[in-house]
Amino acid sequence: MKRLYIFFDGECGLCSRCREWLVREPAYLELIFHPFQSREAQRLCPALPRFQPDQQLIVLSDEGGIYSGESAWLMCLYALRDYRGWSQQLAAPALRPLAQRICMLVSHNRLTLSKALLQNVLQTPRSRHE
Amino acid sequence: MINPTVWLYLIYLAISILLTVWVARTLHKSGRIFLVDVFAGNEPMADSVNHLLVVGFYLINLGYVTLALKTDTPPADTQQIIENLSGKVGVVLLVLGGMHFFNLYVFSRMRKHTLQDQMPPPIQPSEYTLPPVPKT
Repeated sequence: MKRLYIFFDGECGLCSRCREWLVREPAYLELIFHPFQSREAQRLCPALPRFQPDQQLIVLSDEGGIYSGESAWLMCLYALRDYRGWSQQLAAPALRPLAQRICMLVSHNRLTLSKALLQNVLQTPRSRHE
Repeated sequence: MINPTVWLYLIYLAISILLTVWVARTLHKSGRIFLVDVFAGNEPMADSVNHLLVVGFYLINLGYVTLALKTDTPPADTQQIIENLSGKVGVVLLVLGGMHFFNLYVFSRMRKHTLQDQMPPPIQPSEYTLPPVPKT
C-alpha cells in the first residue's frame, strides 16, 4: 500500500481544516484528497455513492480496499509518521467502539461544528466580498 | 607514603573501573543483536552505533567516577575505609544502573520506530472495489 484516496465533504469547513492538517503532517503514504461531490472522486471510485460518503469519511487504498467511518480515520492516522502508533492503539478492541462513536458524532454534526468552531474563518472571506 | 585515604582512593578506582568495564562489555555484547535488528540487518551500521554508544557510556561513567573520587571525611581506620568505600561504590553502581536502563530505553525506542515503519495497517478494509486508476 503506497497511496490513499480520501473522499471528504467539500462543503464542510471542518473537513477542509482536517485536510489541511493531514497535508501538513509528515506521512508514510501518499494522501490524495478529493471532495466526494467531485467528478474525479466518481471516476476513481464508481461505487462511492453506495458507501454513503455524505454520512461518513471514505478512504480508498490503491489496492482497492474501502474504509469508511472510523476505519477511514484510522487509516489516515496510520498514514502519518507521528500518529501510526495511535492508529494501532485506537484500533484495539478496547478503544475501537469509542473511536467509532466519536467519529459518528463528529461526522453527523460536522456542519454544525463547522459553523460553531470556524465561524470567524468562514465569515472573513464573505465579509471581504461585501 | 600510602595513608588510609590513598588506600580508599585506589580501591575505589579499581572497583569502579572494573565495574564500568564489565557493564560496558555486557552492553556491547548483548546490545549488538538488538541493534542489528533495529537497523534491519545492516551489520556495519549496527556495529558502528554500538561502538559509539559504548564510548559514550565509558566517557560518562569514568567522568563521574573521577569527579566523585575526593572524600570529604578522610578515613582513619579500616572500618571507615570500608564505610566510605561502600557509599562511593554504591553511588557508582546506581549511576551505572541508571545509564544501563537509559541505554535500554534508547535501544527500545529505536526498535519501536523501525517496527512502526514496517507495521501493516491495523484494520482490514470493509470491502474491496476496483483499484483506482490514477490520472495519467
